[in-house]
Amino acid sequence: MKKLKFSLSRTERGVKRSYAVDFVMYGLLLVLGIIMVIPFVFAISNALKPLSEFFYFPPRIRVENPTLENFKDLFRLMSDSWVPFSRYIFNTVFITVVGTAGHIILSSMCAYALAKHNFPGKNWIFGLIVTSLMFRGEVTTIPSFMVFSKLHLINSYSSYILPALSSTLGLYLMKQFMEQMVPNEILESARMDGAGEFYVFWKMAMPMVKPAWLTLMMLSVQNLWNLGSTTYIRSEELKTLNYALQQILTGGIARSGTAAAAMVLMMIVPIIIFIFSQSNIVETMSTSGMKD
Amino acid sequence: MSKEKKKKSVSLSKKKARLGWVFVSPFVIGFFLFYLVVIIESIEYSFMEVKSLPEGGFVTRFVGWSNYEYMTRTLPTFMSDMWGTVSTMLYSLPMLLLFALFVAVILNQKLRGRALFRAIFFVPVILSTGIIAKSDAANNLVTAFATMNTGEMTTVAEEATSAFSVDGLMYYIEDMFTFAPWLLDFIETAASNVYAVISQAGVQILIFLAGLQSISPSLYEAAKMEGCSSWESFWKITLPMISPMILVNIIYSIVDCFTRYDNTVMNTIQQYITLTDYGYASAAAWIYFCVIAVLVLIIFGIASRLVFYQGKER
Repeated sequence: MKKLKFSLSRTERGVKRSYAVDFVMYGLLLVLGIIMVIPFVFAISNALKPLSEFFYFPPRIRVENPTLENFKDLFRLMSDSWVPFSRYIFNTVFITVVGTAGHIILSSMCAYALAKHNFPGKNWIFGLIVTSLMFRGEVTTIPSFMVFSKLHLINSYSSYILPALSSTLGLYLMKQFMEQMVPNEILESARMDGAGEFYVFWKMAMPMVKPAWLTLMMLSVQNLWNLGSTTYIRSEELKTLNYALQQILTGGIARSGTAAAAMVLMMIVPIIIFIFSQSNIVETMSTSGMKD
Repeated sequence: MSKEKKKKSVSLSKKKARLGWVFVSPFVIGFFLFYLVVIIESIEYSFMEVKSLPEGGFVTRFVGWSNYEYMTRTLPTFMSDMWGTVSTMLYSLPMLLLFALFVAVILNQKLRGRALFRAIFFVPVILSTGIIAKSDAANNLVTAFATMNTGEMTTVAEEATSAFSVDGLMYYIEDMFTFAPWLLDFIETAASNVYAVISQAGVQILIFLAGLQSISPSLYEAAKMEGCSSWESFWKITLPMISPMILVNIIYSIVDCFTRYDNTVMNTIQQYITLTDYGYASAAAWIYFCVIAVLVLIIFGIASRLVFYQGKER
């Protein structure tokens, strides 16, 4: 039954591939995938190891007596914390969700205008943005702090979120996609039919570059989820999950197991979001509406 | 009559320009505030000596070019570290891009468990940031991987092919490439960096994938009707359509490579920041920035000539 379904789906999708090609492709993916996944598997196995097995040399992946003790320790430490732990989790989730959504919307809007509109100064803006890509945040610690304090953003959620909104890499990515993947003809015909510019942007252009903004989402989630302590935040209630977990980890070697458990917890969320976003992509039809 | 028409068209283009600014401005305001102002102000600091005071705060004193002089002349390691970083980047860039494109093309095929495979290739990106990179366990993890790679696996390989030990193989390869020692160097460096390269390719794979997914299937259908093999349609459709993404990836890879945490130059800069020698740090950052910028400009200039834009040739 299952086999029948498989062969049906092969022809249904119009895939004409010999089994040899399939074999080579899966083989390659498996080999490369195993290389990629070993550190991840190792992290999980570490989280399951009792402390007595933790420091074997050379390190091994197989766990002899797997326990959940590390996770239990982690949760015990969490519940002991001064600020309720759910607060840290809320902070990180809030920052990630708001920052990512805002970043996608703002940078797509900007990219849309840069790619599809003509207005004076647009090349200058784009040039500046591309140039600033090459600058790393740490280098500008003092001036950043000055700007933040002048804007009264110290000690608030905005100090996490606002810089993330206009992160330049995302804009660059979106602009290239808008330029390449959104045909002017479709936008023009929508405008002819009386669609407003925001409608054209939101309902025509954005669906066409869905793979691009899903990528952007992943990059942004990845950055914001792992945001640690910054100099802009003083009160404990506004600090992030990453910061809180790192405080737990500073306990030294005795906490190694707990550290591994924390690491696994931090990794799992981006991976789940990633798998979800990737399985959500359908082939886009950017040019299929055109007959030329 | 004609006057009126002219007036109207001017106002239309003005209206369009205004609309463009409406779309751009939220992002651009943020960009100016949090990125541009800050970056420009750091020029100022690169000409200053910054001293932090024990009671908090800091004082600055204008010192002219001496920070730059210190970085380029006095500090022996800075310039050589920088050239090292540049050459590593130039070595790994082509490999990184080829690998990423290759994997992305495979992952874009209709496969079972495609999302899972994609996730697997993104795992190194997740592993390389945040808490994971910082905690002790990560060190443990990296050493484990290194020993597995070099220690056990090579011994296994050597046992299996005792006639071809690794050294023997190296000898043969060197013998084969005596006509072009630089090529040999390139291959050797490439081979020893393989894991480093493929573990850095996650984002690039993702960008390529997004590009591939946006190519309209009707193009492939038309090509198939005309009797193109898949090999031909890769060169004639996939490659031109994805070429803007190749440019994106070149820029991304260069920037990523230069601003990584494990980069020696970034480490130097970081050290000066922790020592609160902010002037030195800014000067170093600006020297570094200029080198990268020149490099990016050259590569961008060459590559953007080769890029094909779908709507532009008309």
